[in-house]
Amino acid sequence: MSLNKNQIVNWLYRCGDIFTTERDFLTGLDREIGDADHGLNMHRGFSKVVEKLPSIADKDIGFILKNTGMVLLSNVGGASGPLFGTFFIRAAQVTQSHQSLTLDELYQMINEGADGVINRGKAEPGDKTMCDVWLPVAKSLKQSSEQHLPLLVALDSACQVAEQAVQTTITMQARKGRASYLGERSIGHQDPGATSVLFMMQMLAAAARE
Amino acid sequence: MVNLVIVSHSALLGQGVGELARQMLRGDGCRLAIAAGIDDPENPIGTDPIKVMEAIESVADTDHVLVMMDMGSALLSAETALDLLDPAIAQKVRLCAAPLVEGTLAATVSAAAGASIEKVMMDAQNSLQAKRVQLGLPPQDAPVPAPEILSLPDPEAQSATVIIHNPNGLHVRPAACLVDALAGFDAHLVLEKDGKYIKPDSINQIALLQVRCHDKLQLIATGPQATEALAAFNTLAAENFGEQLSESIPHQQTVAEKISISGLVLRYSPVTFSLEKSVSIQVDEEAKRLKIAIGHTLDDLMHLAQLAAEKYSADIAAIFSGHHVLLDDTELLDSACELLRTGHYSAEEAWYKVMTELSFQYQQLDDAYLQARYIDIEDILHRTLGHLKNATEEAPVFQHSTLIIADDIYPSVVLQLDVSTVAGISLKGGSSLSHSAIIARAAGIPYLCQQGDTLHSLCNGELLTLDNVPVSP
Repeated sequence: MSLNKNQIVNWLYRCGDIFTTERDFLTGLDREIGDADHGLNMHRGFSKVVEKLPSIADKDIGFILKNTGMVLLSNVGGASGPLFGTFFIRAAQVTQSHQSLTLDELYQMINEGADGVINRGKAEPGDKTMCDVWLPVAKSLKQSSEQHLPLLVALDSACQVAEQAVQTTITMQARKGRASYLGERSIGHQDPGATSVLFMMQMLAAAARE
Repeated sequence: MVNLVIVSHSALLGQGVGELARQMLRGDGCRLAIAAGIDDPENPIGTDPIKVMEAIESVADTDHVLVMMDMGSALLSAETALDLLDPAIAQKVRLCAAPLVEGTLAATVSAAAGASIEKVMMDAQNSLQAKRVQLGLPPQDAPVPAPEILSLPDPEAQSATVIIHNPNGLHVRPAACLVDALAGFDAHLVLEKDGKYIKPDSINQIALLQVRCHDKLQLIATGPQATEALAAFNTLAAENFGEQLSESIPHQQTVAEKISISGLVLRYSPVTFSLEKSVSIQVDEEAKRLKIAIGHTLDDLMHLAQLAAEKYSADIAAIFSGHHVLLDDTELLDSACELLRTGHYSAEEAWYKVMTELSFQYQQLDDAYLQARYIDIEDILHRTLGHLKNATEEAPVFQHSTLIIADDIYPSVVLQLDVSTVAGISLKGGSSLSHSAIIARAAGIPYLCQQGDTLHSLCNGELLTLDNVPVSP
């Protein structure tokens, strides 16, 4: 089984939905350790992505992801703009002219995107950033792919890994971004960016089931 | 030419900084573009890489574009913009680590004066200096490297590391040897100590790096003759940068004997040159005058080095060759010319400002030996000002055995004194580690410094006897 283009489009629509419903929750998380705009920013960014989707839905996966990245760059506003924007632009580079993705190709896509985020933000594991979710997720997908697990099973376990990873960010001290100004006081709070990654993975799993 | 792009989370802040910067602009030497805020009326705070990219493109028809940023996502957006830009444009762009407001103002002034991208970046990064001084804080650890040259990891860079054995570290003379030895190689060279980087083409930069005995010094080299430059560096280090270690001047002078000296008091001070502003300033004319005066001063220094070699020793001569290297530093002239280009300074004022700043930097160093080098700077400054005013002064000549009383005394003055008529030198300030003191010792002239206001009441022509004056062997 593979993930087809319609499911990718569906995924992005679902991201638009979840960042609408979770906007205030994410902004609340960001209020604790940041500048209280993460939910607003993600909502604004993905609303624009959704607006553009109908006009590009017939293009290949790479094109759709690249477009998503460019829209996020321009519309998110905070550091998440360049970071998620870079994720999708890099993810687009390995999915050019694809109409569907196998599990291994999906792993390549997420891994490439995560690599872009790390290069852009220069975060290390344990810095309390979205990388603390992207990396375990990419690793989980790789293992599932090597074990030839079905795509849906792989996505479910990736989501479980992501949930745990988000919980782990609570114990971390932020070393990047606005939260790092708080030093030790950033411990005890869940990272908003990491939480957004979890939401995106959950939406991907849901879209894959359709 | 360098144009600037201001990136800020806030459109108001971006425009405000732009407004401040434009006040500093004379003519059209530097153009500004602003990428600030995002297009969301309800939440306008944020940065947009696409806007940054467009802003860069709008001023890219020049040699370089320097991007000034406030913080956080402004940096990420600017870096993303670099990825999105046409590589031909992206390679002209540098991101500046300076604080947004101070840095942008400094960069604007520097860029408008036609400075190179390296200089503009360095000025921006040093822009907090004035604020620190005003608030009574020590100046930031100088010097700030031009990061565009120094931070890019170059896989082809070679390096050599040496340990310094010179007891007084790399003071002016060894530093001059180093500058000399590394000049002329077709290579890009960077000198590193404790994470601080400088270009080894300036004796002042090396001095301000404060290289001391036992310090580790690294030379990083790239380019066609990198290997040769590193070899020269290693050779020079093995020769202790041209210094005979046993002959180095000790920090603490050992007091061998004490004598009593007497002579007629002469209160001496060098001529003071007025820095009054001329009514109308022709920038080019001033720059030309300054260059000519520096040329004359360089000639003088050659003669002084010769005189020192004849009168005393090669070591004393090296002091003035050191002055020659120090003055023959295009960075000093460049800085002065930059000030001239603002149109607000005469050649005298610009040179005074540059050299006084350098003297101040030396005085701020925590190495007593290097601190005492301020008098060399002031000696050179004085000589150049004299040439600018066509008023070179002769060293004082005395009929009788004379005790010179002064606030401080230039090394070149001590050199030119006639030993037979000078009984001693007593200074209100000064330093026993200064080159003036070193020359006085070589000449056998008793030299007292830091005597404070006790000398205040003395009149010219009085016969004065000083007891217990230490004389080194």
